Amino acid sequence: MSSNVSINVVDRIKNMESLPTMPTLLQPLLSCIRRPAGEVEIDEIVKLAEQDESITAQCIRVANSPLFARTRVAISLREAVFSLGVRRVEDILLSICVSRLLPRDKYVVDPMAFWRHSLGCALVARKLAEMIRFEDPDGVYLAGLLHDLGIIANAMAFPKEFHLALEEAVVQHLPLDAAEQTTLGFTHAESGAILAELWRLPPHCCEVIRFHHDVASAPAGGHATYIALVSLADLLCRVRDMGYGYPEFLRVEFAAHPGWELLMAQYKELEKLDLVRFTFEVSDAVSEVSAVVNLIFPGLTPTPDPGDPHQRPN
Amino acid sequence: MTPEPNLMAGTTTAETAAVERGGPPHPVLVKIRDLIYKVAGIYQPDDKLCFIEEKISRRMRARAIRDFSDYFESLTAKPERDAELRELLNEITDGETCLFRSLPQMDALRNSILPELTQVKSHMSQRKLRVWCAGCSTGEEAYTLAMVLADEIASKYPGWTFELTATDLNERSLAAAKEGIYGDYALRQTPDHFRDKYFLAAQGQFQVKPEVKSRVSFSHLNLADERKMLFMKGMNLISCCNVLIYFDANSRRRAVQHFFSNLLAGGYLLLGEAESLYTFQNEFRLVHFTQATAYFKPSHSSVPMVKL
Repeated sequence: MSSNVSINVVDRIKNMESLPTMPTLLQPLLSCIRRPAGEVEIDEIVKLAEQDESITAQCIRVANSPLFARTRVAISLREAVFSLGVRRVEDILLSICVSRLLPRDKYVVDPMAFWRHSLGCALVARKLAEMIRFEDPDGVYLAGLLHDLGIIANAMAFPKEFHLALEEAVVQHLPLDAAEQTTLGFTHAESGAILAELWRLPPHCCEVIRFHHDVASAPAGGHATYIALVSLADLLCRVRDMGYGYPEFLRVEFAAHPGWELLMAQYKELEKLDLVRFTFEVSDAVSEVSAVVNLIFPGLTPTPDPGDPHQRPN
Repeated sequence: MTPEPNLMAGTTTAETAAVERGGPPHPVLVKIRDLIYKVAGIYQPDDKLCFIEEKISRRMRARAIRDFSDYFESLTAKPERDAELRELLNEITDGETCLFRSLPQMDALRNSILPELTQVKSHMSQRKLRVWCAGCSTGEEAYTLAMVLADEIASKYPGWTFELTATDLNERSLAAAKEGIYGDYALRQTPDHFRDKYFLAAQGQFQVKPEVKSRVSFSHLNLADERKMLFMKGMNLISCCNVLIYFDANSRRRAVQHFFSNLLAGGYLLLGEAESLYTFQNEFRLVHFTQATAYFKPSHSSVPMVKL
C-alpha cells in the first residue's frame, strides 16, 4: 500500500532514469479491450496495429504460433483477425506492447521467465474466470499480464537493492515479494501500483497489481474477483514451472487461500473444478507459452529455470 | 464424456502439440485419455499422448481391432470393458517404474514435507517418523524413500530416525524387492549422489547397499483386506504410487479412507505424479508443492496456507 512506501520511493519510481515509454498503441488498444467485443470493428483493430510495422509483423508471427493458430495460417493481420477473432488478436497485440515496457538491456530478472510467468498467469487467470463464469474474462487476462509490473519498476528504480532481493530469494528459495520486503522494505506489488496509476492503467489492473500477494487486504467488492483470480493463477503458474525463473519452496493449499474462499462464496461453478487436472493442464501449456515468448522476443535464448535440477524428463 | 477445455481458447493443447508433429491427434485418443482419467484417476499429459497411442495400438493388434473408435467401444461397452481397461492400464504403466520416478515429489519431501513433519512431532519425546510404502511392487519406490529419508535425516535432523514398512500383494514382487538388484534403466533418474552412495555394483547391475535394505521391512498385505488395513495405524507418511489406478471406485474409496485413518494428523499421502483423488469424495486436503501435489491430513493446529 502506498501508505507503507515512503514519498522518496514514489519519487524514485516517478523519476526513473529510463522510465519505459508506453507504446503509442497501448492506450487506444486498452480502450478497445474495455469495450464489448461486438462493438470493436475488425478495421479498427487492423488500422490501430498497422501504425507500427514491427508490431504488425510480430503479431502475425504470434498469431501463427501453435498457442493461437488453428489449421489456417494467417499471412496478413486482417486474416489473423478473421481466423482468430478480434479478442485474440487484441490479446496478442497487448502482449507485444506490454513486453516492450521492459527495457531490453537492463534486465535483472530473467526476461524469458518473467514473460512466461506474466503470459502464463494471464491465460490461467482467464481460463479460471471462464470456468466460474465471471463476466469479464478479458479484463482478467489484461490484469494477469500486468500483475508483476512492479518487478519492472523495482528493477529499474532500485537496481542494486532489487538485485540483492532477487539473490536472497534464489538462495533461500523464497517468494520474491518476501525477499523484497526484507531488502527494500516494500514489494513489487506496491511499486507496481504506483507505476500503474502513473500510467493510468484501468482501475481493476491497479488493484490487482497492488493486492495480488495479499488478497485478504483487498477492499471488498469492486475488483475483488479480479484480484482473487490473478492471485490464484499466479500461484498455479509458480508451482508449475512458470514462476520467476528459480525454484521456490512452495506449499500451497488452494482450498484455504483467501482468494479461493472469496470466489467460493460467490461462484458455485468453482466447486466443479478438478484442480489436480487443471494443474496438469497448466503444465501442458508451458511449452506453448514459452514458444510465444520466444516469438515476442526473438533475440532471447530460452533459459531453463536456473538452479532447477529437475527439468521434467520427456 | 466431453474432454475438459484446455487453457487456450479455440484449440486444445493436445491438438496444437500434434499439429507440430504433423496432424491432429485422433479425437478418440483424447476421449481415451479422458476415460482413463475418469475411471483410474491418472492423467496422460499432452507430451505423452503419442506414447499412449503406441500402447493403444499394441492392444488393438492383440485384439485384432483395426479402428480407434471400435477400440474405444471395447473400453466402454460391457461385458469386456473392465478387463480391457485393466489390460490397457497394465500396458501403459508397464516398465514405467524406476527409482526416483518423481524427482519433484522427492524435492517436496525434502524441502517442505520433512521440515513440517519434524516440526509437528518435535514436541514429542520419540523422534521417529513412521512411513508406509503401500503397493511397493519390486521395491523401487520404497528404496527411493529410504535413501532420501536416510540422507536428509543424517544431514539435517539429528536425533531423528524413521521406520519404513513396504507392502505388496504379490509375493514374487516382494521377493525381488528384498533382493534390491536393479539395472541401468531402473536407475536412469537416480541422481549421481544417491547412485554412488547407496548402491554396490553387482555384475553390471546395481544392488542396494545393506545399510539401506535394513531400513525397509517388506511384508505381504492386500490393500483390500479391511482387517489388516486396521493394523497400519500411526503413520506420518504414506506413499502409494500408481496402485489405486487398478482399483474399482469402491475399493479405491475404501483404501483411501484407510489411509486417512492410518495417518496421524499432519501426515501426508503421496500418490503417483499423474494421479488424482478428485474423482471421489475424501477427507484429505490437496496441497501443491513445486511441480508436485500431495494429500494432507489436517491437524488441529492449522498449518499456514502458504508456508515459506
